[in-house]
Amino acid sequence: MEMSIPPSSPSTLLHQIHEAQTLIPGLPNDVAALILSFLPYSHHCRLKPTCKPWYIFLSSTTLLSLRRHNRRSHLLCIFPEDPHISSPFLFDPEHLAWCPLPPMPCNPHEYGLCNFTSISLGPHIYVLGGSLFDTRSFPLDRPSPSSSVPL
Amino acid sequence: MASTLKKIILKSCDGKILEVEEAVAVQSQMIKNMIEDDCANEEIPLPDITGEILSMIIEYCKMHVDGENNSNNELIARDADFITRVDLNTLYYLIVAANFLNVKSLLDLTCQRVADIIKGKSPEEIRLTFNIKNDFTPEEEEEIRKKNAWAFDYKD
Repeated sequence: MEMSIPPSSPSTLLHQIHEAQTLIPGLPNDVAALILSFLPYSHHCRLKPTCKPWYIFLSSTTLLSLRRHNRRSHLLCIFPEDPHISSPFLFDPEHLAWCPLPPMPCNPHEYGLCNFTSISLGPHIYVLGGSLFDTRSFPLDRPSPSSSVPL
Repeated sequence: MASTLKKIILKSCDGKILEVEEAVAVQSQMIKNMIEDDCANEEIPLPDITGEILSMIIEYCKMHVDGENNSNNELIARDADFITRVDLNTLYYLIVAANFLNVKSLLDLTCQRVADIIKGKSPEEIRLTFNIKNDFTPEEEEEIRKKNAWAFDYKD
């Protein structure tokens, strides 16, 4: 599954920064924002401790829409196993970087996820669970990895 | 032949007058709009752009007009050669001017260059290079650093 950097509704966050703090001293904030949007997504976490305005901007939806607008690189979301057994990973193919995602926010005893499929919409990844009665989901508490993951 | 080509006259903020062929000048979307609106018959004053910066931008636009028939790789190599000759201070002026004149490819090139400079540095080095004040408390900074979950196969 390919997860593109999603669009988002316009955010007022950038304007708040604009009034309060400068992203890069000596440059207008709209241009500085453009520069920061050219940074690879996998480097953002490492660069967030630079200063508060960067931390806020690199966490904002404004950044996502700028990246979308400028056709920045894509990320892959990879599911090594049934997502309620182990977490999926984000992979940046251009910079060969990996990042584990948090565990799925669901109760594994209530949701059988074999035969699952995933889609990305906005800044979210949706995992659509499969059938609990699939033969591969037995025993119920430890289903084997699904063979239908569309990678 | 060359004398029959229409020239656009640009005036920098420090009074330097530059005559540019229309084909080169329209690399700037702003000037292109002015020509289409028939507002470019007299000299165009450009506030906040010095003669030095304006010459560099025209050099860049010329390079792209002359190189239209060249391969993409050749243009990329020329862009790289152009941009690596520029220091950070000049880069800032180029960015602001490219933004004002709306030369999209130059704005992308210059912004990408700054992003590349940032990418290779640690937060400490970035603060030093870009004169950014660290407004985190040591505890806050430590907390944010811990959240970096990305693992790189090798450093680029």
